[in-house]
Amino acid sequence: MMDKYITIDLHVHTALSACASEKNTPDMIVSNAINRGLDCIAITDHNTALNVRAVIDAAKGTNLLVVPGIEVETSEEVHLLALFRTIEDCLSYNNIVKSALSARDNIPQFFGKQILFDKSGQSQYKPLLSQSTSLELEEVINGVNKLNGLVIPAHIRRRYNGLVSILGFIPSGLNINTIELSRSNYDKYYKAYEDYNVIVNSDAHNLNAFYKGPSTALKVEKFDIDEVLNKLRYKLSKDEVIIY
Amino acid sequence: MKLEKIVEKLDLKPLNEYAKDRDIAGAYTSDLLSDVIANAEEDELWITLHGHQNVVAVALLKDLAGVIITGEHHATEDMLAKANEMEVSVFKTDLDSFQISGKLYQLLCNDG
Repeated sequence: MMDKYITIDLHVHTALSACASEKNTPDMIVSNAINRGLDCIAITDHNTALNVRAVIDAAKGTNLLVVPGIEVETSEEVHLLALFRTIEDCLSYNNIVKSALSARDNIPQFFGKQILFDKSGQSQYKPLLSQSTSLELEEVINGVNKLNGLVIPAHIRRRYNGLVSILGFIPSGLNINTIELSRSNYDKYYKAYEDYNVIVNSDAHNLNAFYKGPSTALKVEKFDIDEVLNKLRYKLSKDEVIIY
Repeated sequence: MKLEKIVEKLDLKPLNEYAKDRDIAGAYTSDLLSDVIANAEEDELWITLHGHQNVVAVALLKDLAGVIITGEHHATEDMLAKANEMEVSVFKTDLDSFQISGKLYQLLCNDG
């Protein structure tokens, strides 16, 4: 296959994230992502991967590539996108995240419902996911790398849960080459991060978010998860990752 | 007030060397490092629950007199290594941030 560009959105929430719309069902996410013209999405709920399989199943028979992921909240309250090559790796890391959460129940009236989708239909997931784990920033990066996954710090300039807001700057020696900026402040900050691949994602908490911009295109030689993750592991040249 | 007196009065546990004679101008309590970069002043003590190595860099950048890590939180090994290398003083208290801030506020306000 010759080089080509694919459109990617590596930060999408399902209704399992308490703060996301209940309309973010696996079917609706897949159909809206395809309508939007996306080639590849990652499912990244807060501190859980339990809806990933349902979205992968919903995308079967389509050309949409679904990357298994988790948006992990570190002990510092920094949000990291942890992306994996396989659902098995992702679920294996999900266990680590699960045991790093303190055991209390969600309060749907306050945080919103956490809706789980599986073969038996949908149900409410009880344990509270809207909290920080006890995993430190570097600990998450090392743990995900060990499973051949990829970490992308999310919305790094966002006041809440952004790496740079909380820790002041990107720690030296951090083993990452790709960062995410929010769409709302991409123009303001991208020049400050020329040493990294800067991407923007929808961070879709509702379906409308798919249709806003800007978006990210990635140059690939093959169209599969390994290729997407491998590309973003290293610093790319400017024409390989394009914000449009 | 001299740092040595504050350490003694508040029963702070020094995790490395510190300048006993340093005059403390005040303190700043925050867990957003970006906020500390923007608003802390030199010669202040910084009260935080973060034990991340970036704390050392921010303390150095702002010429803070030291960092107090509160409650159940601890300095990571990375942080202590950086703190020793950069000669930034780090202290530990088991009190939470509210309690230690209150005590320090009282101590500094009653000083002269």
